[in-house]
Order: sequence, then structure tokens, then C-alpha cells
Amino acid sequence: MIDSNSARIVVDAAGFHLDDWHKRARFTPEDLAGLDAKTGASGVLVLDAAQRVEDLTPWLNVLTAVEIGFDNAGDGRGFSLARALRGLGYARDIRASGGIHVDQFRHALQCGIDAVILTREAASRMPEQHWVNAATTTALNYQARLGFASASWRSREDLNL
Amino acid sequence: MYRYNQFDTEYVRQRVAIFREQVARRIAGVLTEDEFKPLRLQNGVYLQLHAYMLRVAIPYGTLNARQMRALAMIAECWDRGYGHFTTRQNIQFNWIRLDDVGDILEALADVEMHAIQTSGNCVRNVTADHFAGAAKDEIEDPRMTAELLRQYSTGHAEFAFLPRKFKIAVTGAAHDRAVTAFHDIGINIVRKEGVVGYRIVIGGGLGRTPIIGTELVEFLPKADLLPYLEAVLHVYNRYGRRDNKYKARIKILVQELGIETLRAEIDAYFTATRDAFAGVPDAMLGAIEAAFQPPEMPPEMDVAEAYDLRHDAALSPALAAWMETNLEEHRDGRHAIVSISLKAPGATPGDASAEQMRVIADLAERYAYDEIRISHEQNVILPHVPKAHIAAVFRALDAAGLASANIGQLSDIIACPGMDYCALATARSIPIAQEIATRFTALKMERDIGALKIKISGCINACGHHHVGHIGILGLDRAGVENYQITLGGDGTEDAALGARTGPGFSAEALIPAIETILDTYLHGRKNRDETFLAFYRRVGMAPFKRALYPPTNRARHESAA
Ligand code: HEM
Ligand code: SF4
Repeated sequence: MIDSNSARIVVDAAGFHLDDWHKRARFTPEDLAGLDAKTGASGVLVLDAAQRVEDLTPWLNVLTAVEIGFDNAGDGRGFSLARALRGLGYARDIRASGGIHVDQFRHALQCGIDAVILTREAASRMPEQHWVNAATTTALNYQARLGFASASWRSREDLNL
Repeated sequence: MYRYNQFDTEYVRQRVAIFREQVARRIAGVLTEDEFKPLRLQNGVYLQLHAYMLRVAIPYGTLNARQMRALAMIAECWDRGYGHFTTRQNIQFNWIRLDDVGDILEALADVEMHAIQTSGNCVRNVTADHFAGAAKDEIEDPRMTAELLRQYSTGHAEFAFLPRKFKIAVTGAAHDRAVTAFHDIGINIVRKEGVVGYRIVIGGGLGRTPIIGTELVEFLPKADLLPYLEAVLHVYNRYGRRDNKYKARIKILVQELGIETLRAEIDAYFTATRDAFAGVPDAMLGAIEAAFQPPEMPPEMDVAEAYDLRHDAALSPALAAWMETNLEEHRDGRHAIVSISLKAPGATPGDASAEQMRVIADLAERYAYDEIRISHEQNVILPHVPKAHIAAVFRALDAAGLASANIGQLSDIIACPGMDYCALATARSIPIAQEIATRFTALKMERDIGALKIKISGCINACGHHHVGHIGILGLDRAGVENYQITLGGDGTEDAALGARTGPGFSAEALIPAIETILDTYLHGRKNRDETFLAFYRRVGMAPFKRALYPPTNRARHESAA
């Protein structure tokens, strides 16, 4: 089990919030085998960008919170991981943490990530308004025009897709 | 020609605004250089040896006169009066200032152009056969596919931070002028039992590890193209190597996983996601298709007999010589395809001055249905010129210093920027091209030699495509001294081949004599004038070249030096 970290800020398309996952148990894919469904549903599955999410299929109906760690700003594997999770039918929260910054927020949202977890330092360097602005740029989306389904389960629900 | 719809316009304007704001945040220190770098790269801005460089996309190499004039204006207002056309159908401005970039991007947006994804670890500007829509041997205009891919790849959220850059080329003709075998993905439009679809080749590339692409799919239905490419990119993004940038291209993944495993992985994702793809709306496909119809011809065309260019040729030897090299047959016998050489001997290959750009723009508008192409061989093409106007076009080009009659010949050299501009260079490249062109045109050997592709790179990254040059030259640094390796027999077409090294490299001084030895070996050994350099090499192999380049008396010296 990983220690929770209460000092974090969470930013979604609406703006900043205090991290509401900090009281939850955190576990990694290796921990899943020994986990009961109740703990699985109440905790946070923390994924490394190299994870083969296809192996998690049996758990995707149980889990309610997935955190994808980004190694650094140049490493886009987490975006594909989120897309893959959505493709496999996982329909609850996905958050990104680590080396992801405001200019990647649009990408995160469009790949089905709901929110980004920030350190205090990152939150003070990248003010809330920038994130909110970045979220609005998701509206212009070539891929959606070309017939690809939105990966964001929230916007799909909003649109009744 | 494809014109921006309201969405395209809004999208490009939005990107300009976002980039302006990112530059401001970088200058204010809010964005770190590590964070900013991928952002500026995805907007075409490089930090080069002397200054910032802006690389502007010319999607599938197609331009109109208004766009060409805008490039001329940019060259004059923000650069030093010229631009450099590259091997990937882009134009680079080498001397710009970071705080001007926003204004330049705005000026580009005014004429439906942009610099989006011309660099960075994302899907790059999609290239296509530069004779598209005019070539005789075409199944379908590849620009329809390339435009679809432009839209698909632009701003794709999942693939903006790939392990490495990703290059796609499309050809619709049997003769591959788009070098598809050497792209991350090469798309060949093919017909099978009367149905048009795609043959997909994966993992080709030049650079440090030159590899000819492997067939991934023999026949892909057209409707599956986008979800299938999505699966390719998805698998690459997740499993491509990120620990070593020299092993990060998809070609290495193909080598390491093996094509079978990779294909299975791609197919699995494709099968799982195919149904979530609703298909490209017919209206969008229709708009793209309509944009690439043959130009509308004036009524006099209907009555025009095929004009006989031999009359023009008889009037002027210079025109005759130029027509021999710079014209290509058009699918419509009343037209010809004109190649404008940007390789005047002694000039920088691919450079065009603002004045020259305007001359080309005027000619395109006046005589060529307002269509211009940029080729990956760094030349400009007027794809549809009525034969009746070839002579007039030639005269105007000649007056502007643009009538070099050397397309496909010795002095039509591809050379990367090399030591003159590039921070990674280990040797000069442009001056070598200039020297070769000047020397052998002075010797009047060019015509006699005929078809020959010389390609020069200033370091192992191979931007000058030397691996696929009939004669390839690679400039290296050996203990602080330039050393040039020569390869022979490379070919970027459908008969794709990598050049083989002749042996030890040559100093800058010994290089030109070595090239002369190679050319002499060919001229003395060929069966007749119809046997091209490449055909000769394929027949006789490396041995006679080796013997001539490294005679026994010299060999000992070379070996002790190596
Ligand atoms: C094969 C079909 C065509 C034939 C036989 C033809 C023939 C001619 C002739 C005989 C002239 C008069 C030339 C002179 O006075 O020197 C002319 C002028 C001209 N044509 Fe065509 N033409 C053809 C197609 C076109 C097309 C398709 C375009 C435009 C895309 C075009 C653009 C012009 C222009 C701009 C002029 C005025 C040129 C000048 O004064 O230099 N022509 N054409
Ligand atoms: S081949 Fe090397 S020197 Fe030439 S442009 Fe590419 S990186 Fe620069």
C-alpha cells in the first residue's frame, strides 16, 4: 500500500479542488490479486505508464478511482493508457499525476482523463485560470468531426451518446 | 485545391493564439524550457545554430499563388529574403526571432497555412507524390488520403507526445515518387479486384539505422484507414522505446518485437476499437474529394489539339535542353508537368528568394491553373501547364534564374543544411553540393551521365537521404577533420534499396576526385547511354568502383589512415 498524500490539489475542467482521494487506500496492480472487491471499490489503483491495462479487465467494473502517473512532460504513454482503459469499458474516474502540465490538459481531457493531481508548487506556478482556459480548447477537435467517439465518459454522458 | 472550411480556420487561429500565449509564459518564466520545448516544436519552432528556425507545412506539397506570395512576404519581412524548401515538403525560415513567430503564424493563417506538427514527437506533415493529380500512372490522387490524414493527425490528443517523430507518406501511383518505403508508415493506394484500398508499409526509415519498410497490411479497405492507423499509433505510443532517442522510432519496435507480434498487437486494438468509430461523415469525404478534381479548363482547351512541343524545341536549343530534363508527361496530352529546379549549380539546393517565389506564383496563376507543388527533391513543380505555354513559362523562368535544366541529373542534388545551419552537423553539406554541381557542370559531363541522384547529409541523422542516393555522401567528423563516406546504389522508389559503402571515407579535398573516379568508372563501363548509373551499378556491383577508388598503391595508405 502506498501512503496517501493530502497536500495535493486536483484540477478538473471546472477548476481547482482539494484532493478528495487522500483518505483512500492506494494500491498497485500487483496488489489486486489479494484484494477484496470492497477495498478495490473504495481505494485508488495507481498505474505506472508502462502498465498493460488489458490485464486489468476483471477489475474494471469494480474500481472507481484510477491514477495514472506521468513520468515527465514528454512521455505521452499515460494518454494511451487512459484511452485503452476507456476502450475496455472502464467508466469511473481517471486522474493523472506526475509530470503533466497545463498545456497538456486538453490532451488529458480528450483522452478520458477527468482531472490532474498537482503538487502545491505546480498549482502556484500554473494558476487555475490557465487550466480552465485550456479545458475550453477541447471544443475544436478534428478527431470527433471525423467520426471518433469521445473518450471522455463525462462528456459522452452529457451528450447522451 | 483544398480550401479551409470554417472549422479549419478557427482551429488554426486558435493554435496561433495558444502559441502566442505560451511564448509569453515562457518569456515570463512560468513555463520551464523542458515544458516549453515540445510546445514550440509542435508549432514548428526550432532553436538552431545561429537563430530560431520556423518550419512551415506545405501539406502534400500543394500551394497556390497567394500562398507562395505569402511565403515571399514572410521571407522579406521576418527573414533574410529567402526560404529553404526541404525534403519533406516544408519550407524553413532560418533566421527568425522567437517574438516574431506569433505574427508569422498569423500571416500564414491568413492564407490557410500553418506550422503545426512540423516538428516534435508527433505525426508530422503528411507528404505525397508531387505529381499527384497529373501523373499518368495514378490509381487515385493521394492528396485525398493525405488531406484526410492531415485532419486526423492534427492536434490528436493521444499522439502529441509519442516516443519520437512519426512520418507518413502516400502515393497513388505505381512509380513511387514519395519514398514510402522509408517512412514510419508508407501508404500505397492499390486496386484489388477493382476495389481501391491501401497497402500499408511500416517501419521504414533513414537516419542512423536505415531500414526498408515492411508490409503490415496487404490490402486495407479505405473505410478502415483511420481506425487502423489509430491502432498503429496507439501500440507505438505505449510500447515504443523511450529510454534511448536513437532507438525510439517505430522501425526499432518493428525490429525488436518482430512484424508478426506487432501486427497481432495492432490488430487486437483495431478489432476492439473499430466499432466505436462511426466512420468519416460522407459530407466531409465529399468535400475532400471535390477539392482534388482536375482543374477547370477554359473552353479553348476543348478544341485544343495536342500541341507539338517539337516546334518550340527547334526554335531554341536552351529550351530544347530544358524540356528534355524538366518536363514530364501529363495524363492529359494537352498539358505537361513542369519541374522548376532550385538547384542552380553553385546555389544552395532548395533555396528560393522572395523574388523567385513571386515569379513562380505569377506563372502558376497565369498559365497553370494556380497550382504549385513542392517536391521532396527540393524543387518546385507546376503540375498542369498547357503545352502551348511551355515556351513562355521557360522564358520567364530563365529571366529569374530558375531555368536550370538539370532535373534528375547530377547537379539536382539533395543536401541537408549541414554545418551551415544545423546544430547537429558533423560536416558541411551544402558547400559540397555546390562544389560537385559546379565542377561537373563545368566539365559538361552532366548530359552525358544522364539520370543520377546524388544525396548528401552532414551527419548520420541522414536528413539529406544519402542512403537512397544513387551516390550517397555522408559527412562525418574524424578527430576534428571532415571525412566523407560514399555509398552507391541507393534507391528510394518502389525498387527500394540502401546504398552500400565503397570503403574508407575521403577528406573534403579527396572527395571531388573520388566522385570523378566513380563517374568515370560508370562512363567507361556502361553498355550504352541507355544504361543509367543505377542500372550499371546493379549489373556490375561494387567491385569495379572499389578497384578504381582504392588502387593497390593507395590501399595501404588508406588502411593505415583508417
Ligand atoms: C492547349 C490549350 C491552349 C492553347 C492552344 C492556347 C493558346 C494560346 C495562344 C495562341 C495565345 C496567344 C499567345 C500570344 O499571343 O503569344 C494564348 C494566350 C494566353 N493563354 Fe493560352 N492556350 C491554351 C490554354 C491556356 C490555358 C489552360 C491557360 C491558363 C491556365 C492559358 C493562359 C493564357 C494566357 C494567360 C495567355 C496570354 C499570354 C500572354 O500574353 O503571354 N492558355 N494562348
Ligand atoms: S543530416 Fe545531420 S547535419 Fe544534416 S540537417 Fe540532419 S541533423 Fe543536421
